[in-house]
Amino acid sequence: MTNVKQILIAASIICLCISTSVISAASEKEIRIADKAGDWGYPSPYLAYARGPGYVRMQFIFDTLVWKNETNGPIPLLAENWEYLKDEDAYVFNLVENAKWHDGTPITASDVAFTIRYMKGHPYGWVVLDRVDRAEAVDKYTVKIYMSGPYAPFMEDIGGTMPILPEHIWKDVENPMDYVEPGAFVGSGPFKYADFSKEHGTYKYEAFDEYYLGKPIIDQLIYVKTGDPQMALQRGEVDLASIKSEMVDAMKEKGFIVIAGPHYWNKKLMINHNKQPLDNIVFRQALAYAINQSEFVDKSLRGYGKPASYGLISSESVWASPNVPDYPYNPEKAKELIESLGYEWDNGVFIKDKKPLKLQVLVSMIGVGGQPAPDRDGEILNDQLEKVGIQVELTSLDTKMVDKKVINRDFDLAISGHGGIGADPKILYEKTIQVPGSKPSPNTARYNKSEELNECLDGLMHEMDASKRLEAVHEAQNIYARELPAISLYCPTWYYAYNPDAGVEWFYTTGGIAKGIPIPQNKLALIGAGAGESTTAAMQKEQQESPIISFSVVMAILILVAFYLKRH
Amino acid sequence: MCLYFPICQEFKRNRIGVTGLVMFLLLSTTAILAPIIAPHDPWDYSDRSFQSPSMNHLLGTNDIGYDIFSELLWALRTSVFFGVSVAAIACTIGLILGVSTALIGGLYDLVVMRIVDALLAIPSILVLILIAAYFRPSTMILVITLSLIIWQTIARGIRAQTLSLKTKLHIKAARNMGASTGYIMRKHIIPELFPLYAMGFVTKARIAVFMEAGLSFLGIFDPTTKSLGIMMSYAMRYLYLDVWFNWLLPAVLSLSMLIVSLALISYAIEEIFDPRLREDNAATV
Repeated sequence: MTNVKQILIAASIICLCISTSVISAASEKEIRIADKAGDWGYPSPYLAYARGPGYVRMQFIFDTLVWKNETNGPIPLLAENWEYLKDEDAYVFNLVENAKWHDGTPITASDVAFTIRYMKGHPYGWVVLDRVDRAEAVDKYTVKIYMSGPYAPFMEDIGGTMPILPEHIWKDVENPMDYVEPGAFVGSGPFKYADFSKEHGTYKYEAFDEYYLGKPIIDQLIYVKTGDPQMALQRGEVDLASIKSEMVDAMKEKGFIVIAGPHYWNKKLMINHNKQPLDNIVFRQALAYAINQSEFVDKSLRGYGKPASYGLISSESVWASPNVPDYPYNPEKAKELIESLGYEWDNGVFIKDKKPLKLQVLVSMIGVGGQPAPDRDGEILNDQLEKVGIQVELTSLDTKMVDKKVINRDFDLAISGHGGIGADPKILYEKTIQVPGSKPSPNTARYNKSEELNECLDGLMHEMDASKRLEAVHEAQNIYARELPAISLYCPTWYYAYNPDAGVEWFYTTGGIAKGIPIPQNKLALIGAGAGESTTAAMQKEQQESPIISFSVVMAILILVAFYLKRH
Repeated sequence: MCLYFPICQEFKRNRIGVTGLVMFLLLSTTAILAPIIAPHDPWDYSDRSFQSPSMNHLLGTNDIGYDIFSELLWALRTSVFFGVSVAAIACTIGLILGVSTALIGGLYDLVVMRIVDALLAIPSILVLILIAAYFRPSTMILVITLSLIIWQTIARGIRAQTLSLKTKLHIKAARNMGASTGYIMRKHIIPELFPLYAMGFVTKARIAVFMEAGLSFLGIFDPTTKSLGIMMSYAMRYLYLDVWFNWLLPAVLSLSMLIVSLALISYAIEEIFDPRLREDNAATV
């Protein structure tokens, strides 16, 4: 009898241990994301590096007023609804009433008003608040933002990009760039800051149980630095990673879900239109005819991309003009146009005033997301221009040197690239003319020779009527493509793959995250409000139920054991 | 009899040296004949990308469609040209300055030797990276630049040897018999210094080949130049496609063989002229 009793007690203890571990394993669900660079700064608004990945790491902790998902934007986030008051030239946002900061303090309208005041005093790289006059908290959950003039991109540019800061923490912060205290990481997003290692390039976040849109479907989110993200994904070390274009089919065969990004990033040819003969529209059009965009896609991207629109805005954007002028590859037409400018064909080279037509082409090694990578664009452009009688001096320089030369207009042609061409059409304004008061950008053409274009660009920035704004955007693209302040070459297709068994359905955000970041790491995918609502809801349910089931089983066993012992 | 005849005989008997020389000659001949033996234009990218090795493309094609074999031959040509040119210029400068400082002496010797000291303190690779990255000079200018910053060790060695030679009886005898400085340099000193500048030549050629490959690997050379470093840099990007055996490996092997051949020659020369290093003496030392 004693033996039976001892065996049963031992069995009960074993059962208890197993069940407890099952319970803890079921409740600790983590997602790992691979990243090559690792360090993108602390995940706090002023400390994260001013590049897409830096913002993405910050957005898990800090919410904005509005947001975007796979198909729509703006959609409610901290603001449940909003309105533009034309008479007062102001936006009114009604905030959700159950939102809390990570330290438990409720989020109110005064936090939003404070954020605007604070960011006007301490400029934040992602948001320009020159157009905002002031913000007032009308009541506890209503904030009114007064504009100093009509500003059409407001919702995407400020509403959907400006992280809201907790007033009770930040009101005493004099220098936000030096503020690395724990308070710098108290936000309103679905995840709380847990750890960041600059040396190892790792980030760790923990789910915020009291998140106003519901508890996230995972408990931990971790960013891991790895030299080969694709390999890390194949080995099961991470759940989401960028993959090489050629590996798409192989990854699909291995059971991963591959998502192709929208074409919101373009490689483009910067043109020094202050210099002869590049100051002539006809010559720039000749260049466009001489450039074979398809060859760039075939050779430089090996087919994984598409030719860019000459109107800059991505052809996949809702803002794309349906009738942008096109320049199909036609070297003969290019030669004709160059000849019409007084050049003579001499033994394969155009000559004017006994001097050959020679252009210097600067190439830098900008790759995906601004990371350095050697590419073949310079060689291809060199070949294409030489075919139409233009001598090319191809110079490969450090990215910063190319940028500097372009900013100082010390160049003829330069190959450069930037994203954001799928988000708000403000990008057309920013990349065509110099935004007053801003630093010169190496991707901006700084072209203001066309009154007609300036007028349309002004319209797209200040026209508050949606249909009239769309018209101005279309017209601006058409004129841009006709005058060619810069020539867009191609848009690469980027791929990410994820493990479907991890239970998160990642997606690319329409127009890109915030101001247009083309990275499929939208926080909505982790709170079940994104594309995979049904799956994630099911997961959440399963996660909530499984510990209860395990616990019930253990309790039942223990009751049975107790009952047996009592009987014997 | 030629002064160099015994040296040649000695070299012939040195198996390491002969192996190095044969390897170097083979690679150099291939490089020189590249325009003739390359089956395709190495700048023609009209072929399909990533073709496997075939009779038409011996090593297949790369990411853009270049024939890898033809590109390899032309890249080898760049490496050999760079190595030999830099070594030739650096040796000439080193020889002239080394001998002249030893023979003339005085303030001239002092100034040149201080320049040598200063140059010895500067890491040549950094200077070359900075010049290449910021000024983007042509290949020829880079050859001259590198030569101008790596001649100092040759000059110093030659100066020391010349100072020693100057005191030898046969030189003194020649001088007493009325021979001019130029005559002594031409007929006695330069031929007798052969081991030193032969060594210097090979060593500098090896450094130059390595530097050229390294700098082009970093992407700070003209991207249209065919170079083993550029080839390796691109091949590394596509390792996941299993192209290492027909793209990366041939480039790495060619570069290694070129450097090893030069190293073997330099080792052999050193062995011939430094009796302490000879195998038959090694046992008795």
